[in-house]
Amino acid sequence: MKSFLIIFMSVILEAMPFVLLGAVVSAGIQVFVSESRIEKILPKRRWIGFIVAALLGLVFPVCECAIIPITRRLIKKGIPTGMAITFMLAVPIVNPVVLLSTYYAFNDKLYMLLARAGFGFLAAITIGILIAVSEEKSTYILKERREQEELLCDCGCQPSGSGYHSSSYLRSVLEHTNKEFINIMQYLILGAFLSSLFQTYVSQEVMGFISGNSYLAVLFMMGIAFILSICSEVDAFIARTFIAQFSSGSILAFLVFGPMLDLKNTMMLIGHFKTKFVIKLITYITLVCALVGFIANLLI
Amino acid sequence: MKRFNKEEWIWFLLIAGWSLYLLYLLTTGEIISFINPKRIPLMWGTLLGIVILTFYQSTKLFTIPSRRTQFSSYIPIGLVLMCGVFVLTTKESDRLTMMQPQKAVVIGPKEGDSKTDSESIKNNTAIKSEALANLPISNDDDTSVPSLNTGEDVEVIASNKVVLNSENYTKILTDIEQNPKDYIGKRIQLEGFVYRGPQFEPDDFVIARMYMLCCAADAQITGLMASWERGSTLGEEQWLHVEGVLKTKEYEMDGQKSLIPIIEIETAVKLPTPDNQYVYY
Repeated sequence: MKSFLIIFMSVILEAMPFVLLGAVVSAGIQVFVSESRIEKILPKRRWIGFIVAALLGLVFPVCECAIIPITRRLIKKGIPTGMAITFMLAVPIVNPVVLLSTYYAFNDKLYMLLARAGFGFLAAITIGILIAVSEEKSTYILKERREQEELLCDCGCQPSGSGYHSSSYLRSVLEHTNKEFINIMQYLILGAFLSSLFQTYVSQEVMGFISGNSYLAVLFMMGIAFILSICSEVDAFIARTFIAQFSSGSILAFLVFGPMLDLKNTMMLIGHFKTKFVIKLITYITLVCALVGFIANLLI
Repeated sequence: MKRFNKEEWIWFLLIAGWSLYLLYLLTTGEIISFINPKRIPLMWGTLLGIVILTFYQSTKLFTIPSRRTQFSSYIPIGLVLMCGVFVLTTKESDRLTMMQPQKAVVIGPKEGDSKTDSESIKNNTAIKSEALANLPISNDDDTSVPSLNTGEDVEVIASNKVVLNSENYTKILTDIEQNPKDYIGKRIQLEGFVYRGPQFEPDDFVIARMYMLCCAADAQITGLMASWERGSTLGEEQWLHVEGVLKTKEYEMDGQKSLIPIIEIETAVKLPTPDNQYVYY
């Protein structure tokens, strides 16, 4: 029990600077950046648009749950679906806070940072193109929602212009940081709890069996990422706890798949998009990320 | 109308508690039992941020309660804080003892080797159960491999006595692993605790340290194999200061013979368990 607690606390403490950093950046984005600004930046030319959409997270590091309502509104405003989906999937990976935390978590294995950024970028573009090819009319994929519902985000974030009606920007940022800090901590705690349980109580034979099969290991780590629903700002620290048992490819699958799809944002996807489209999107994300893991297993 | 806002008070007490907890860990140095000391500046920054949030939260203690309450969100954060305080009541030595069964023995961390992970993963179960599986194999090719390390290591190799301490521990251990022939015949002096693998000979053991990369979650046992005529009398986890000569010894594990570096101990002094048992990346 006590060894479990030591591992658990060390993961929480190690990730805490990035919980706070993620909360502050998210607060700044929510208060100061509107989706109309994002819309202006996205080029109208299709292929360049995908690349810019995949890199926008470097400028607007929005969290993975706040990004869903923003994506919905971008689609409503006429941004091509595929491009919007690339934006939605890439921003929670290719963003400075996430890359910084990945750097800290894997500072003895910097190839993991490069692989996460590179494969995340490519996977988001691939899925966006697949969606663009298979979906002709964007508006058909959106669910009809009341405006009030649309503004609410599960993590306590609200899009700019509709946020906490505070008397100053500073108070708005502090208020949002407070809420976001609580939200990220909750999921981090759940993730750290389960990963510590695995480390402490799951027998080496079971872990050895799973990690011994490179394909099974990739799927297992993707499943873990889905269930844990950890924010991408701190998920690298959870992934790190599996590095002794699991291959780099399966860890990478966790790091790329988790920010794109988890239990938390699946609920939000179902709330914002039509079910048929969500199933298609989940299928594409799962297949592409599994492929990323399999390829990475061969390369690193 | 402004009044006592229960929800805001709860969050204020929790975040103030976290501020105090981090302040305690940082000012007492207890933090390095959990994370690598390189992260300490980051933790000070985190403390500053949380203190700012605490002050901000104090301005909301007497406000109109929100209709959307977040009480359930506070429970895990409060529980974790309690766990953190509880862990501090455990002695460092007990924490180490508790963690050992989970950890692998590696003799010398293989820094920067991108293939190490996948290889060690394949052998992971073996490493955990067979501590010698990861020991470096010495062969004739070693003499032709130039030393990868320069500077301090050149000075270390040039002297006849090599003293390992917390600062140079992982660097020299890595060098011994990569270039064992540079160290054969030299006097080695180091401190660590006794760790035995299941297939060790009775008088053999590892003079071990806990090696932390990022945090306690990735800590593993590392060290040098040692042999002492009275080794079997030593208790597990007994801390020792040892001095001896580095030699090689052939070990057979799972049908495979390996030539490994081993200290033939000449003097061994029992030590009390130190406050901090980690060496860091």
